[in-house]
Amino acid sequence: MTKLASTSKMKEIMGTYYLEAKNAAHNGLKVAWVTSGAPVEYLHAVGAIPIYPENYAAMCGASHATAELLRKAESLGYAGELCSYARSDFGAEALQGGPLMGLPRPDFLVCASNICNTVTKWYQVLSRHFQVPLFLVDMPFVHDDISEEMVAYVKGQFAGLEEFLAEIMGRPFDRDRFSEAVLQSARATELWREVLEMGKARPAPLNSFDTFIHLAPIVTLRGTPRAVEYYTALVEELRERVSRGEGSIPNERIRLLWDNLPIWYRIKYLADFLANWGAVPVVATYTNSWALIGDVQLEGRDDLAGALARAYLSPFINRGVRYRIEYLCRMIEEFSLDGFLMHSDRTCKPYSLTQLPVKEEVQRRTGKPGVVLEADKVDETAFVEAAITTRLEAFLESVLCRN
Amino acid sequence: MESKVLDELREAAENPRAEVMKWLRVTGRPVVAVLPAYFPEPLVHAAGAFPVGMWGNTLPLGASDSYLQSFSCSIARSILELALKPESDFIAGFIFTSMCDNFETLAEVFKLALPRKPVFTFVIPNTSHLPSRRPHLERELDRALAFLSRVAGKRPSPEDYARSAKLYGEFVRLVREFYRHRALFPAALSNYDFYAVLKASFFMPKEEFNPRLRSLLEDLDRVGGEGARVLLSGIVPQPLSLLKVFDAAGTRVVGDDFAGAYRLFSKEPAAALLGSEIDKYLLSGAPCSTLHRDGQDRGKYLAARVRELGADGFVNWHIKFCEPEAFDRPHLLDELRRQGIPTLVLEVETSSRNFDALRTRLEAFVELIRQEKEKGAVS
Ligand code: SF4
Ligand code: SF4
Repeated sequence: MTKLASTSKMKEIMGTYYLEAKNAAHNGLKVAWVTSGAPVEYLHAVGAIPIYPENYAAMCGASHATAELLRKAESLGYAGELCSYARSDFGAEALQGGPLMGLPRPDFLVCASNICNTVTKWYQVLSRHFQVPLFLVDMPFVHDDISEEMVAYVKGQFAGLEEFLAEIMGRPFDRDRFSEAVLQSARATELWREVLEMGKARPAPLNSFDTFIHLAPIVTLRGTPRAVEYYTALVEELRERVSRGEGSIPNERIRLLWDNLPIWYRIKYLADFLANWGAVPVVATYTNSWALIGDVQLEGRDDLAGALARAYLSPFINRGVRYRIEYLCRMIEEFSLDGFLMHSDRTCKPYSLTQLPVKEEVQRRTGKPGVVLEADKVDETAFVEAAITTRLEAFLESVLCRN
Repeated sequence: MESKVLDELREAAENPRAEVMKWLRVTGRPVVAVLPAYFPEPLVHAAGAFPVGMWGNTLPLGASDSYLQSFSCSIARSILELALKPESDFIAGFIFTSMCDNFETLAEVFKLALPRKPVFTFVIPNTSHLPSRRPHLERELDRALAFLSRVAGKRPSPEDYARSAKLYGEFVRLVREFYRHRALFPAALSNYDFYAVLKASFFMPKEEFNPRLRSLLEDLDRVGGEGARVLLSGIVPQPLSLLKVFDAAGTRVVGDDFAGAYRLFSKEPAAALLGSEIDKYLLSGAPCSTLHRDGQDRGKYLAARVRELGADGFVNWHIKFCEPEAFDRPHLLDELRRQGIPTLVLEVETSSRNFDALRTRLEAFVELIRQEKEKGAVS
């Protein structure tokens, strides 16, 4: 991992965020559990505190706290084939486990299906468990293009969300605060994009493993000034690194793309393994998704909801194969890549189940090799080290031969 | 029970390809595969095509493995396996729905695996905000009609549709009658035959199926019979042959909650070519793990159905790697157990052939039910 001064700052603001969330009820604030792709600007507009169970599940994964949570979920009847984030969440709730000893209880739930249908099922479970209202924002999978009708459909639901929130909060929906949150989101997203584009530099001043970590604020704090402040400083730091020609690894020889969620419990292991080969992922479809999600086209200011709907429909995981293929080819070109890594996450179907034919097609079009690594984002039992290293070695050798 | 009609329907269920080819020759209508679940099928019929239900099969997996990882459910994998066979080339197009992540991505994999085949995904609204549904469904209806006119060569008129809706209305009425008879007289047909008949309806034009089912209904005995009365729940009773194990174990399936059976047939076909009518159709009938409705509680619903049907137990027929079903399961089982209903979970893949372990578990379950009944009779 790259040593960045900003890392400690990030830990600090994330710590503050979770502390405030933990104390929310005490301070008379309402807590909402939301999915990572939920239009959180609406929640900021009403002053509710959004909590991201997916982010917490990732934290548990990165700190090797997941196994116990998954065992608990299994004992509650949740089968091992279900999304391991959802299972971590159920386990963490039952045990009040993980690094923060559980999450603060929600007053209500907002679920957006722009990342998967799995979250719909997950939040139904939460709604029954906590006996709190759930608002489901249905954002269809974009098989072809984002159509005007789709945008209208989502906008209609945003209007419903406003009513839902006004009722829960017991006061009218605040449009000014909403516009402010959207602007903050757009600003943070712009900065996040700048961070990610730094990966184009040779050598890259940070790598995808770093961005997995520095992603936390754009996921959890977008829509607030804190995310803007944080990324302003990070961009600054990275610019300096680029001007000094400082790479994220000592001897950058192989530049790669990472597709799908991180393997949270093996980030350091994989970073070191690849670095030994002079290999480094400099762009990831996963982290890029938050450069799309808050990418509100502000010329549409008189129609913020429409612009927001369009942005929220757009993450990579919500797009069909034609888009995925073109996107990967474009990244390979723009980031001057030598190949691509595809984490096939056995419990994330929407991300993983198109990878095999997409890989073939991207290889055919670009002539750059790809490799599929079978694992799971937080379930460590799915990671077979010997199989992964053999695959990676064969892949890296083939990349070097081509170069 | 022995009957010519029953033989014919059983034959259709066991040899779908031959059956579909037969009707393709007879009708000359292009075959459109209607995949799970809830696409308004009368639209396909009204466009002059021959809709064929495709809910997975028992083929061993081969070619599909290079497109789909093993954690895809076997419904999706076996559908792709079948579609990749050169013998399936007669299928003019495939209709998917947005029912789950597996299916949404499968529709995309189809585009790369079978680039020349027209593929359509019908987006079922799953929102807490009801007013958004209708305009969305108007648009989906429009897209569906455009697709159908491309693969079937005709955009149905409201009159075409009305005729098809009538045919399908008759179809669901007959099927529901078949279910009612089943609940009252479960010994009239074996479990296997009951589901073979329902499955046959996927592979025959409804014009042909309806009179056969009507005639079968007239011939069915009115016999109750002994045995453990069970309600089955799951996505689809695949592999069909597992029902023979249910027969051998002495169970009487008195009703079900399969997406590919009762949940589907409990829906009232849309009365007209309108988004609002499609909406009514989608909201009608049994709840489903793949359809979101605010506040819905399938646990309570299923417990009530168990009681209504006088069932002695509940069996969850789980297709491995099916997320919508697996998410609901703990709650269903908790609720049913809380209400004192014996439950059993059987996990299968559509291509499963060896049922030894399942047989043992089912027999133990039947024994448990017998003991419970005895206890009930004594106390
Ligand atoms: S990991 Fe995949 S399946 Fe799980 S919540 Fe995220 S997008 Fe959905
Ligand atoms: S069996 Fe389940 S996962 Fe598979 S296609 Fe059907 S609903 Fe989706």
